[in-house]
Amino acid sequence: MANLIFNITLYHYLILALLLFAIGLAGVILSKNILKVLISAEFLLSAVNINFVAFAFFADNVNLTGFIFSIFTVAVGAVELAVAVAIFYLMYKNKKSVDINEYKELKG
Amino acid sequence: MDNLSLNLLIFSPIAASLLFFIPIFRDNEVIIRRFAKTFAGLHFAYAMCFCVFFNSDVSYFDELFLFGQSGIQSLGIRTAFAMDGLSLVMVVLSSFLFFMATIASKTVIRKRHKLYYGLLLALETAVIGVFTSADIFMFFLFWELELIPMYFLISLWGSGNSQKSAMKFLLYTFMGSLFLLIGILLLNYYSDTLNQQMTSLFADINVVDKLPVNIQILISILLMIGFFVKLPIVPLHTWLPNAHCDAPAPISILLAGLLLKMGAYGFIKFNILLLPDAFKIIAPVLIILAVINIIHAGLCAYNQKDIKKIIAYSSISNMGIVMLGLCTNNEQGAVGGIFHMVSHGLICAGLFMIVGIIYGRTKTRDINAISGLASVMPNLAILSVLFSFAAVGVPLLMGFVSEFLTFWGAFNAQYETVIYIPLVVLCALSVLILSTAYMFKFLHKTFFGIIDDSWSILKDISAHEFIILTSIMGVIIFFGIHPMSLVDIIKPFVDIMIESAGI
Amino acid sequence: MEFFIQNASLIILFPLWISVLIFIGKFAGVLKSKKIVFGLTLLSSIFGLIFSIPLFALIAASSGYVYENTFNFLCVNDFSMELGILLDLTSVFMLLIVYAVTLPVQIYSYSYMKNDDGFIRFFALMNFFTFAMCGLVSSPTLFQTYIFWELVGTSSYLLISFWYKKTAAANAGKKAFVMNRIGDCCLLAGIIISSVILFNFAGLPDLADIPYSSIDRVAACLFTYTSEPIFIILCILLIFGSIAKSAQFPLHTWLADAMEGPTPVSALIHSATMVAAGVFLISRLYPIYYQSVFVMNFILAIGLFTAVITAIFAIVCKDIKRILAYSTSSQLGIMFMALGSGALTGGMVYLASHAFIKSMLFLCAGIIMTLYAGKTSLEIFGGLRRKIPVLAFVFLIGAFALSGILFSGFSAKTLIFHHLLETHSYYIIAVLLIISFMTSFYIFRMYFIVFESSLKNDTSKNLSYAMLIPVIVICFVVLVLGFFLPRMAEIKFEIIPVSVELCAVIFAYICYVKIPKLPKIPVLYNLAYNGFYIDDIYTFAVKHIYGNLCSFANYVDDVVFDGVVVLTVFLAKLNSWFSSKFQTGLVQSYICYSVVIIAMLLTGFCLIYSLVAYFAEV
Repeated sequence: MANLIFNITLYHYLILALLLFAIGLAGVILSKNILKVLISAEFLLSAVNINFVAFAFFADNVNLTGFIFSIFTVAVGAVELAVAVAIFYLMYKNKKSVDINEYKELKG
Repeated sequence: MDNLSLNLLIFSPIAASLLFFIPIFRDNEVIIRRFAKTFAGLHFAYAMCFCVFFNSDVSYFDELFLFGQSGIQSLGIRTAFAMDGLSLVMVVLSSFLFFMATIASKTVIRKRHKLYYGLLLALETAVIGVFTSADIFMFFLFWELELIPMYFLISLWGSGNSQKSAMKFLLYTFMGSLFLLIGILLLNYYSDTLNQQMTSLFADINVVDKLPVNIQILISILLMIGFFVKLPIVPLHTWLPNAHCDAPAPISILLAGLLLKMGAYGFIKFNILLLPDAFKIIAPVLIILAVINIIHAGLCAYNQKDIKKIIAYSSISNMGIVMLGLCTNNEQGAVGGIFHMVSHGLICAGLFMIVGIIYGRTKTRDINAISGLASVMPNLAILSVLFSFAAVGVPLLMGFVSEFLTFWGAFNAQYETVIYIPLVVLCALSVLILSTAYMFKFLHKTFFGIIDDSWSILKDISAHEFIILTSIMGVIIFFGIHPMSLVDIIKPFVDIMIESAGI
Repeated sequence: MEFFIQNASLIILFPLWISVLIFIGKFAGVLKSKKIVFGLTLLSSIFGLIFSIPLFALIAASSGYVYENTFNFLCVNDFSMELGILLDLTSVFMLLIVYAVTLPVQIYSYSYMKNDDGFIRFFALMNFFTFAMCGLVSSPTLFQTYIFWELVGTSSYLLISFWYKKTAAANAGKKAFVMNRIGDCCLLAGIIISSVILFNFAGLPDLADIPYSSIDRVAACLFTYTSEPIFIILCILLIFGSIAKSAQFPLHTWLADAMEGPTPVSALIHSATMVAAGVFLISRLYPIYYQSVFVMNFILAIGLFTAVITAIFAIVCKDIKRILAYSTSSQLGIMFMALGSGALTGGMVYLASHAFIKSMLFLCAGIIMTLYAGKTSLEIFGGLRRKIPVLAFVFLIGAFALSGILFSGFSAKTLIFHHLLETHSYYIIAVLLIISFMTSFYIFRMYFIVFESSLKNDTSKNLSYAMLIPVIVICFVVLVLGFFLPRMAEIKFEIIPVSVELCAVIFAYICYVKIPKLPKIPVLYNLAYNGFYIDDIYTFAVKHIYGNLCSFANYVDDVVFDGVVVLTVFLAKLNSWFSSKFQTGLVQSYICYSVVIIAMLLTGFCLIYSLVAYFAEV
């Protein structure tokens, strides 16, 4: 038990990432507000980032791929967020509602 | 004659139809109609040239080098066209019926003339392409190609439930063509010539010695499903009454007169000529199917309320006679079957034309609503009586010759293991009574008797309708009195067919 | 003489050309003059008569002379159907009868149909019928006989439903055609079966079209190459064709209704020529039937039964034309009986004499009808002898001839009775005596009601002498025909039949002239008046049994065959309905689907990989 608390292994990071991913997933699937969906998607991104860095850090040989990839992910995530907020704002202007049940044009 | 070009015969209609859509072409209905009529007439004259110069020793062969000099090498596909006795008869019949249909379209078509005549001529290319393909993939290509113009022709200018009927026709035939495609691919795969290369020319496919009978039977059944949708044979015939009824009259003429014969033509070319061993085994079952066709369709036709449906079911019955003739193992039956293809094409064309004229005048197809038309339309009545006699099989008209030959040949059919064939054919003879029953019920209900007041103002048939019906009747009478002129063209082909079927 | 024989095909073709000429002329609107049409028709009939007389004389004189000429109509390898002309005694005999009846009837129909709109069409069809009938009797093979058999049936249809605006006439024509077709179907079956037997089993392809010149070989082959039941079935199929054409039981109901057509049609077609074709065919195929006692007895039985029941119908019938129609059926039954018992000559002689007698009687009935504006019921006629004594006299001659008391009918019946005596068929003689009694009874009933007794309705119309002259001509033929036909040299037995017939005459006189109102036998009268309800049974069968069969076929078509299509469509729609439930339009559900499925895939993949690794190790 003490081993688990005081020695941080790879698995602690993986479980952290898993929990974060689960929170993000729950937020994406279960939210009624579209902005909440967007923010929860960011959780997903950060969970994936933690995973990449954890694997890169705990590898036997020095492996820089994970770190570089996580930087890319962060950049892309920021851009995507900006674009998504812009799109949602335009759609909000049409619908006047942030309830995700109004955004059902592709039904059928 | 070698100078006559098959490519011109096949592709000139679609070239003419493309001419319609050049912007220079004026949108005047009369000019469009006259152009189409003239073209169809010239095309018919050209097809008759083939007929005149036909020699049983020479078979035309022509190639359109679409894929380069030697076609698609790896699969052996070449865009080749050939014409032998059977093809010649079918091509001349097609040309003639398209000419008649083009003339008959005058009163029926009221909108979008350019599109209509363009599609009609495109259909002509497709149909003649089917009848003259020398390569099995070309055959399949044209087989599928004729569905597109036909779908539009039925759904845009038809009456009643035409969109639904056209869709049913299209999907049903597509389903059959799926099996046809699988069969053709298998045939191509198994084809081996001396130089170990895949080929798909009819002349070169030689599967008789190489294939075990099981695979022949498999391919045969797959191909038959495709052809039986078109022929039509009884479980797969339900598209036909709807499609015929809801199509406009000229299109019904073509549908019944030509497209059904395409099924029989494919059946001959593939099942009998290419897969004879399987044919010998399956033929007794096919005879039973043909007799079921004759009797079931004959019974169904009697109680119909729609006059066009009566003629549609009579088409199914007559194609049963064709099938019966083709499945016999002797020359007489085969000649009878092919002769009946031609005779039914002409007779059916006339009958649909008559029904189209009645519908055009009275705006109803209900048999209980129309009566006593002979008082106001005596010329049409005379022609209807003649066509009814032809449909029933009265001598001196074409139907008798083919029916007699077919039944004689069918009774004479010899398959080793089967003894019930004579009994079955005797049942088929009841077609004489069945066809008389529905045909004369139709004739008497619509033409004879007391006329209703609402029909007393109808006018008799106009000059050009009269010319169409009389010319078709003239051909029927000519071949009824002198059948040898047609039999002489068919017989060399049938001799080869029976010889290769190997009895 | 050779000229007549070489060009004998003109006898058949000339009426066809005239008919086509008239038809095309009318269709094109060119030919409008009735006199020209009549002139052309007369030309063809006179021409035919002039041709057939020397032919008959020539061939009758040189007995055994046969001329045959054929051309190839349809030939496919070994199978060949040849059309041509055969001139032997039977065929020129029939040709002569046909033309000898046709010519007077056509002269009669000029005045009968003078005021009708369809005059030109009528003569075109009459010519066509003449062509078909002549072709039938001079056919060299059974195939050609079948072709002309059907043509005769179609021209009869066209002539019966001549006045097509009347529903009754059109229906009568349809009924005649359909019944004839039923017979044709059986006949075709018989022809094809025998042809195939000859072609295949006997190996004689040249006999496959069943030529009459070698009918004996054909008969011998058919008998030897088939077992007894098959041979009997074959013969019965062939006989059914004759039954339909000659209006015998069970296909006799069309003839009575065929009286809707114009009277010349009844006189020519339905008394003398077309209905005689059935008997003619039996005589042609006689060597085949002769080999089996059962078949001969079958013909005999059909003939006797028909003769009896149609005579019963004629006794109670109230329409003058229908009486004559039933009488025709009855007399043809007697001819069938004669042929069935072996009296070939007797039957043919009876055919010849009946042709003239019956056509004359029909023409008389037609004259009576023109006087009374087309009405035919016996109840309105009476006492016409005082008004038109000539007609009464002619009718009387015909009645005596028909009953077999005098003239040609007498000599024909003598032959038959003699043959029956020689073969010791006493039961048949008894039945024939009963039939003769009934024949005399009904024909004299008609005579007494129409011509004797008091004048019931007077008519202002006058007798047309143009119509009377052909009748007198035929009457003359009836008078003298008895001397030209083969007849018995000595007459001993004839007292019995003649006395029976005379008794019938007296009985009829008592019943219809002396007794004011004859009581009707309750049940039997209704049965006989309605033709034993046979016609009603047929109508019921067609409407309900055949109609229900067709409805059932339609039901199968709609439910079973179309049902597959409908089922497929339903399944496709069900599938698409179900699948479209997944398209909610919410991005969240799509993400949910993809996550779940990827998770399942990955789990599955890992499981399988580990299981495989585990088992590989083990």
